[in-house]
Amino acid sequence: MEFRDLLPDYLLGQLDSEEARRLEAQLERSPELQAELNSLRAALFRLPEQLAPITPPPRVWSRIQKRLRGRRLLPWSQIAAVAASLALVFAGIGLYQLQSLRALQAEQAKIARWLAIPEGKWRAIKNAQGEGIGTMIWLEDGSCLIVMKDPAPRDRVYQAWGRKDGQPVSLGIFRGRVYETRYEGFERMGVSLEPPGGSPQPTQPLGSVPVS
Amino acid sequence: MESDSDLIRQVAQGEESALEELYRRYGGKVYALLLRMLGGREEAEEVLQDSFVQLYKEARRYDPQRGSVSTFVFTIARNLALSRLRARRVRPQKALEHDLHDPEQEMGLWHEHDPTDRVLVERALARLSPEDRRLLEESFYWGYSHSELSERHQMPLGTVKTKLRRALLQLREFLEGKVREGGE
Repeated sequence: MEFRDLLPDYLLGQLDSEEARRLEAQLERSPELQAELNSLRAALFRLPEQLAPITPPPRVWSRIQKRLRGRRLLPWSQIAAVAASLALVFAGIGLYQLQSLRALQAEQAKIARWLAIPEGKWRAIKNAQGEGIGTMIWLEDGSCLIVMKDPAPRDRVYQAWGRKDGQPVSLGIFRGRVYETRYEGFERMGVSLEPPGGSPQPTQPLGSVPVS
Repeated sequence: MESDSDLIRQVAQGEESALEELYRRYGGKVYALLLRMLGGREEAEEVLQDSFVQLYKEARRYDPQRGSVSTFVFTIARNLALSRLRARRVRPQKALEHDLHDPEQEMGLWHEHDPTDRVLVERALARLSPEDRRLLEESFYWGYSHSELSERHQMPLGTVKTKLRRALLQLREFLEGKVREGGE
């Protein structure tokens, strides 16, 4: 059977894991197959449109708001404590500079959002000399935030890497100090310093942390 | 009016007001889907909450190349509902009828600005053979596997597979056909 014939079954969750894995590998290689999948998905997910919408009780949105605020808005005292703890992580290794953090408003907002997530876990990213060069915050849903002590030098970029089966996989480049990516499926996550545009392999690894 | 794509980008940046607008646009449709899938109002409400909290957390993963925002929202809700159905191993035997005007149910018809999409989908579904339509809907709404469908309908497994594939391909064709007829 051709891969194309498996697409409806795939969308309806009817393939076993091995069949699905083979199809997904083929989808990575074939834009045409991916386009066909997207087209069938669009048709399939119009099915719920046959149903007349029904107004949910007002309490549903209230509960959603409450859960979002519980997730985002910890009491300021807790946020301050978390921020102070993060500062200590850096300060303790003599590298944290609060002034530069304040200068980068967008990055600060992003960091604050992550700090307010109660289930977030952190680990310092250290170089070969054991000095902290940044921190990684990660969530159980597979997402993570890399916070570097300093922005990349003017003529260089940071490149994030995941290590899988001993091989580095590029997760993208960034110039600032903050980078959101995903860690799931990797044994380690790391950062290297690279020429603009990045490199196929890390040329100047800075540090890494285990994530599995 | 802001597009769904703009809104989901704002949600990815933590904008609660953008999520509220998406809820206003899709909450009633997702709730209808969940009532159809799960049968019970209480569980449908729980999953509706879970769906929009997850949408808030996952918004940055939205890829417009892979589908519309509505597809993304429905996918999240359907996956959560299917997990519940699989956990309890019993599906609703039929879509429950709700009295939409009973204030005790705190429900009512969603203010539907434009029922065109609903009518188009209903017409496309009506063009499928009743058997193909039933298989497609039972697989989509209740997550029945090929073998479960084969047993439920006392139909050979190969026939179920063929009919399901055909049903989805025809649904797409009929939906696209409607667009062409509409001159778009």
